[in-house]
Amino acid sequence: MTQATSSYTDDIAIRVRGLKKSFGSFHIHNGIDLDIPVGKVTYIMGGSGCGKSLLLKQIMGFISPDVGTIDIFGERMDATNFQKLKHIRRHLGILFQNGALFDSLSVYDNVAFSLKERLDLSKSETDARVESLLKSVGLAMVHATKAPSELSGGQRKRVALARAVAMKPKIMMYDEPTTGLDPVTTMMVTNLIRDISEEHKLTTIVISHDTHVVFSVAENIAFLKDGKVRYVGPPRGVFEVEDADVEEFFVLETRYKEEKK
Amino acid sequence: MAGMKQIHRRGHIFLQQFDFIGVQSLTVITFSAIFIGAVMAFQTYIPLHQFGMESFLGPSVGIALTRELAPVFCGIMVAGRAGAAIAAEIATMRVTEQIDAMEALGTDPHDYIMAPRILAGTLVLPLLCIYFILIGCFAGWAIGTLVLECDGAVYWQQLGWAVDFTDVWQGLAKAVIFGFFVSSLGCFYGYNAGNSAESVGVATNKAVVATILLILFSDYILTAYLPYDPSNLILH
Ligand SMILES: Nc1ncnc2c1ncn2[C@@H]1O[C@H](COP(=O)(O)OP(=O)(O)O)[C@@H](O)[C@H]1O
Ligand SMILES: [Mg+2]
Repeated sequence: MTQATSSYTDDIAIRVRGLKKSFGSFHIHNGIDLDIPVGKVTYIMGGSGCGKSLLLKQIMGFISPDVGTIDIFGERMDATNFQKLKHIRRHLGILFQNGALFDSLSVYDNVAFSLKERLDLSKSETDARVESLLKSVGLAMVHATKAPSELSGGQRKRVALARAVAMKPKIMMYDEPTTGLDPVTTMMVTNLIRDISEEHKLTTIVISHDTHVVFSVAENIAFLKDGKVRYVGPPRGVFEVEDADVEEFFVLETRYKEEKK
Repeated sequence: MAGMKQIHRRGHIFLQQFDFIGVQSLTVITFSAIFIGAVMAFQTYIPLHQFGMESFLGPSVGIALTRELAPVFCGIMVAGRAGAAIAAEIATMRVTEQIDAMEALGTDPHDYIMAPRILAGTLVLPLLCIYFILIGCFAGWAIGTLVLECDGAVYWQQLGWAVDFTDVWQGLAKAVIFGFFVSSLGCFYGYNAGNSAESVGVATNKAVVATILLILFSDYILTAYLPYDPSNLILH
């Protein structure tokens, strides 16, 4: 606790130090050090299976690291202490890959979920909040009574985003928000992430392996490979470092995408 | 944090589950009870007839149903229907990250998803059990009078005399325990499902098999060790 407080600076939202995680003989993280700056959009990139989602799960406290620490606004994450976990998670919002909307609830009840669970609002106050949340992700109230199964993939993500920001988290995390979407929807979701970040003044973390959109939106990039952070810094910097893996991932991926067009 | 509104929300889920586990099992339970009661009447009639004790048909059907068959069959039928459905539903929530999403939103799935289901399962099974006993006894009576030509009045009179409070409370105690097993194992295997494509099927399977085995095993333990007064036994 004391250590966490002393090393905490105002411009760091999440501080990861010496993170290691293995499953059996698979060493996924081999000592990750990473600072997520406050108020910026950070993209975490890397090949499939390199442990990007796992990193988010550890930040959320769903999974404990074997070694290492995670501090969120100076508070030490501890997945075994439920009261503390709950307290820290108020800062965190997350958008899962497929939205993870509650199947059994309507769009309205999904968006209102944490409002109803954690606040004592009247029906009309809740209605008003749900309406403005849906509006902020570009959805009209007519969708409110629908079931998640009646929505398109893009709409589901919007609803999930509205649900995630309902309690005004300070940090929003997105796990592969554009994977599997067509180019138009990808642009739409990417812009939405940027708009929401600006509107709510969020610290944003996006997991992606889509190098194409990164350069237009990211303010900060962290590249993972072999369980370590191999690059962290502004997007343009990836072309300047002398690391064959970084070059391969960003340059070749980008060139490949360009050729495909 | 758990204000009145939040408790009310969980109460609503409890009622939904009460309806799903209980009310919607009534058809299955009705048919099971009819067949079990009818078979019991046929089977026990054979030795009773050999000894000229046809008047004991009511007691043998009634006691077997009350102490044993109703709780065990209700447990097994509800495990197959509702326990499997609970496991599949929660495993699906696990696979599609709905459980993680709920935790991320600051709501504990244990109290939002599991507690109402476990409570509903535990409370609804004894009620289904009472219903099973009644239907089963009527089925036994129908076979006894229509097919086996026993005296219907004697059937009820002897049954009412033989089946006493001890039998009923033992049957219902079993039903409560089996109801707890069905719903809590459904929740357990669903919650701890893996996150691959086949996890839902695996979780459902495990929940049903484990529940039925646990019901049969604990039925033996309960039958052997639940206290009862031997003077209440009909053959005394
Ligand atoms: N709960 C878990 N149990 C076992 N292995 C896991 C678990 N979570 C992740 N892994 C493994 O860790 C590796 C990284 O997973 P993940 O973080 O999902 O990759 P990605 O970077 O594609 O998001 C994978 O090989 C995966 O199989
Ligand atoms: Mg992933």
